[in-house]
Amino acid sequence: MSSASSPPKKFKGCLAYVTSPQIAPNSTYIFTEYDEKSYDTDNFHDSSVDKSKFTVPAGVKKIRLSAYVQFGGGATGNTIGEFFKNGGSLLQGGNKSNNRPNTTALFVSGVIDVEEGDYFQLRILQVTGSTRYTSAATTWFAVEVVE
Amino acid sequence: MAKITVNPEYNLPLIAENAGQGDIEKRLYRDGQLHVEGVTQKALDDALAAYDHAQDAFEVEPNEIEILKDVLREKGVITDEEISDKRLEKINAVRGNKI
Repeated sequence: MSSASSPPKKFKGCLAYVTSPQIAPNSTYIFTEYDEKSYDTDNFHDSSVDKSKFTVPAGVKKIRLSAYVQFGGGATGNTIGEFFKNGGSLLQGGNKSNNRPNTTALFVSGVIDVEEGDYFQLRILQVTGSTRYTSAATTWFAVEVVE
Repeated sequence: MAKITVNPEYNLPLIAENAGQGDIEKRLYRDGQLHVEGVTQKALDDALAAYDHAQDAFEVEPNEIEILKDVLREKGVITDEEISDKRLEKINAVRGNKI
């Protein structure tokens, strides 16, 4: 008896993180920027072009986004953020906000339909009463290809 | 979109509001510049020129640890040096446990 099985799909995706902390003024949005990568199978992120953008390559139809942000300095305050698609708020499938008294936040999208050339960013706001910096190594952004 | 090069320590919401834009969604800080939608470049330049950081800066409330340290200092329970030493001991202890 033989069982029909397809070979496992080769993983595609990107994980980028911060090595140079990025300044975040109080109560003003920034697009988080990433200057180093753990992996990037299909050139989603090119920090020499734009450190904040993750661009969908050819042949990808669905992705899932996740990101984690930590602000240094031990401050207390609200952190609010959301994924942006092609420069606008991603209202379906990938919007996540966090509004509680700490300076860390995790963002996860659902599975998003995409086309070649679509780009994604994380826009974030911290309200601690003073300027903060994204923490190196612990602030990251990931793209996972689903289909 | 108007934009100005500005010190990120400044009260950027106030500058944007004084330029005529009170909507938090309409301002963004990037590459050392404050970008504000829906205002003229002149209005934003004027708002920055009129900004007085000594007077207009955010009023930062001390965090809970600083408040606690102040209380302990006032009561003579502990000094800055002792706080630092004890924190250092704690850090070293944690490091030792991990090793």
